[in-house]
Amino acid sequence: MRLIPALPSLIAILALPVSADTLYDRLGGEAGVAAIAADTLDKTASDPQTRRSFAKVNMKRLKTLVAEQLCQLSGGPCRYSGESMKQSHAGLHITEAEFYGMVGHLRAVLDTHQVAQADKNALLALLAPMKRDVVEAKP
Amino acid sequence: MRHASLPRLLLALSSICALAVPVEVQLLDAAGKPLGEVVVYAEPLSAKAPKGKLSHIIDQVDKEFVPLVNVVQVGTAVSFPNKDNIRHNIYSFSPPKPFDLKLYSGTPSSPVVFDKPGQVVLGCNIHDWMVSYLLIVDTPWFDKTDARGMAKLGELPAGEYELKVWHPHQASAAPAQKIKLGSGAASAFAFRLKLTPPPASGNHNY
Repeated sequence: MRLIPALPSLIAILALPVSADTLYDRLGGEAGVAAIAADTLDKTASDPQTRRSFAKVNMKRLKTLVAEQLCQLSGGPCRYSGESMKQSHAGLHITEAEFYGMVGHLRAVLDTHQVAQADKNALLALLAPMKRDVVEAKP
Repeated sequence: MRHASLPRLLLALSSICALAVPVEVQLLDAAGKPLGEVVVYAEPLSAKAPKGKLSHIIDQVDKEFVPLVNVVQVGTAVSFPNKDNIRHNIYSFSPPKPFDLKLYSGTPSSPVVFDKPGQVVLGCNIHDWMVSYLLIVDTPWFDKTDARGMAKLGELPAGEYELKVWHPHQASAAPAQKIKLGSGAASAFAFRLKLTPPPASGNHNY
């Protein structure tokens, strides 16, 4: 008797790996994540408020690495091959305003890509812990 | 005895002078204007080149290599101090010394030893327009021309040398000059070199 109510949820659990898509899939998979990375970086690197630290930077390489990172974080089949956030931002003196400036560009790009609100929040929540390694604390 | 010593003294003096000849080289471009930043070096033909100063610095300042053109002797340890104090990833695919050197903010790196002669182009992975050129020569007698197009190779022992010039943007190599240094021989030389500026590259749309 006890087993009968549990049966539908058991079926649901078994079906989960097949039916559930990852955040990565909902962001548009490889192409979607690459476009989100590239568009966000293009906006950030051209906005006078945020472009300072992108001067003379190899943007092609940066876009590839950020796409890898978004892919891995959102459950995609990639491995981020770049440096730690702390190492890659050391000495750049990124301010809080610059950090949130880039977050703003990411939000706008996610809207353009018609990413659902819940997925947008999920991605931002995955990225938020990076702030402590990116933003340089004022001495 | 007194009379005999004078010619001997003169002979001794002349041989001392012959021991060390200050060599100067003038570089002009195709239009006859002085050409700076050209590497000039003298390779001894008769004797083996002694070892000179085997250390050199190529710095990173405002995401550029300083200097752009470098010359060192074989065996020189080149340090990359990273005045920028941000991350750089310096690399070269050039045959004399392929290497990959990660520079981090506030972390000194070990120097790179260039132990074979040849030309090396240095780049940075992170800042793709950073470039520097290094010529590794088998002689301690080298210099780069100044704004007046003059290079001073120092005091060279008498003997035969091959005098060569090099610039990373040279249109074609200038023929080497075979020179003989000694008493009474010339010690000032001149070259003409035509440069072709490289096409503008790099990522300017930041």
